[in-house]
Amino acid sequence: MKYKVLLVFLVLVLIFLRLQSAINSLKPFYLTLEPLILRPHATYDEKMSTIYPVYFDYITAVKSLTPEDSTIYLPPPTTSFSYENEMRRLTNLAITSALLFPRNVSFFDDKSLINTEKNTYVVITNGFPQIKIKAKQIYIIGENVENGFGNYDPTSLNNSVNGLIQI
Amino acid sequence: MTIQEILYLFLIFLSGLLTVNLLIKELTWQEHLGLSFLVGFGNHSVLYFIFVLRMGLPLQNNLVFLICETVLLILFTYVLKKKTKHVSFPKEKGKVKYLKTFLLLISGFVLLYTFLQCIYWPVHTPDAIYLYDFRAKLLLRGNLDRFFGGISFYFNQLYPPFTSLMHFFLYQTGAENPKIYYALIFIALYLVIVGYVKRITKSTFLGLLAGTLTILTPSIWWNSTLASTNITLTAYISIATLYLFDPTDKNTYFGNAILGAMLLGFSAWTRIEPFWMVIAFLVFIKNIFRLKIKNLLIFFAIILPLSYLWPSSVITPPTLSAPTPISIIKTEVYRIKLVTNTNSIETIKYFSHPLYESWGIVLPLFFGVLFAEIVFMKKSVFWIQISTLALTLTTIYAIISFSTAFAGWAGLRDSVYRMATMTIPLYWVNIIKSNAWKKFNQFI
Repeated sequence: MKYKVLLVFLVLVLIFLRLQSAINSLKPFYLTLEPLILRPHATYDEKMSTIYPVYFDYITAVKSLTPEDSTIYLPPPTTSFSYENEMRRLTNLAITSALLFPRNVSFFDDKSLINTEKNTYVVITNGFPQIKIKAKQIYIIGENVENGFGNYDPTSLNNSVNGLIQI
Repeated sequence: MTIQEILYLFLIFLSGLLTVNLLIKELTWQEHLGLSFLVGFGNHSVLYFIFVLRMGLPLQNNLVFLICETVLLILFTYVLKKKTKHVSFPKEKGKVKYLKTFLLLISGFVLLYTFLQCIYWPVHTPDAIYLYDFRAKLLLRGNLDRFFGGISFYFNQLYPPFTSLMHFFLYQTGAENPKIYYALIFIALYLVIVGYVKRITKSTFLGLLAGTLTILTPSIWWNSTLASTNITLTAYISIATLYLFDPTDKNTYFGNAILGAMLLGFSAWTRIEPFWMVIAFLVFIKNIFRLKIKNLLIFFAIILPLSYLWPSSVITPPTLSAPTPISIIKTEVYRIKLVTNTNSIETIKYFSHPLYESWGIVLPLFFGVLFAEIVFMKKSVFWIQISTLALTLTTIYAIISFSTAFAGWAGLRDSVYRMATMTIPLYWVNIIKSNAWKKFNQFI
């Protein structure tokens, strides 16, 4: 009888330990069921925006502002972002290319502004680009999208501004 | 869910069920149910790939193709009159009834949680977005060149297409989110473990215990909510190992060899790393010793074409060749020399944390039970135990080998954590089917 009680106890302890460590490993907020209960009918964009705040909203705005045959230049991978800056994900060329597909996405370099084709855009983020650029249009992307005409001058914008330059 | 999506999943299940009927004489109903999804998904993806994507059969709609596939299987089953018999055992009496209910409640919670996660959250992990899901979207646009040729990165095109095809099939049925596939694979893994352990131990309680502990293992549970290839690889390679080395298989016919080869082949159809070769080598040794040459021929006649299917289809740049079984062996022989020159202990120390996080208490428990069985109970080692040990050692070797060949290896702790899940179902099956637990069952 003692053995039975001991063994049942051991099984219960084993399962309890498993359950506890399993729940601990599922802690990230987007993996909890809370949003599922609070917003069961959320759209794909809303869910992705919860997982990738700022970055995914920016991607959505770029998709709405640019035609599918555009070329979009991203800040080069050497650009330094703080870890808290969600826009650092832009430098992951693979994921940004997939999300902006079928647009052609590449890193900005010295040759990017030579012989630009129509529908060419350069990303504005984290103080990038740090050179003056002759632009057709500039979009400032925040909670809303504002557009203005004129050339891009890095000194006229705050580092925290995100946007898009149409060349 | 769309009606097409429900029909697609039902036909996947039915085609798998019929295939298992043709192959295996006796199973528990849990195994039959779980294997139906695993075999159905694998078969459909391979057949669609060969006939439509490679040979150009004008049946682009995979649902139409699946209907044809199922009708053919119904005809085969009717002609051959084959049906899997469901084995059952006397119900356990006493307090074990309450423990079984407890285990069912916990498993039900875990499976429901994963199911809800998968149907709610979209594909969101970076590698799933830019590789597996992106390839499915390329295929949906009819962009075959980029599907076979990858995008801008070499590793994309070398990754086999199984999970991408799963996403593609579901998108084609009108599904917005293809992650229901991962929930079903997770449920199938649970069912097969429960049924398999129940069959070999003749105890529903032990089956439920093995299944519950497997899905409760944090790394397995966490992986089941992600659209990555790890849970698929874990399910296929561990279940293939269980059927290829089934201790109750009398080797009187080839059902297990065919089923095991198919499941192992689907693991090679999932990920690039050649872990399947370890199991194939052990199958070779086992059958050579027992002079089961027909078994061996049937096994290799299935596994080799499946492992060559993607490498022979992929468009690679001239500077890079797709990995075939022969080129993999050559590379590994070369790498073994490098590994012996590397400070392997330091590499393992570096990766010990993610390995510990993934395996947790399961690995020491497995070794403890194995040691107790050999030393105290004087039991001989089974093939399942040998293959579990071999896969564990290969995982450790693979980490050291990869660190010699890939400059960015140090950043791959998360990949090591996910990769190590592969052997966890095998650890639990080995632990639960051991004699120590059999004694426990007798007590109750």
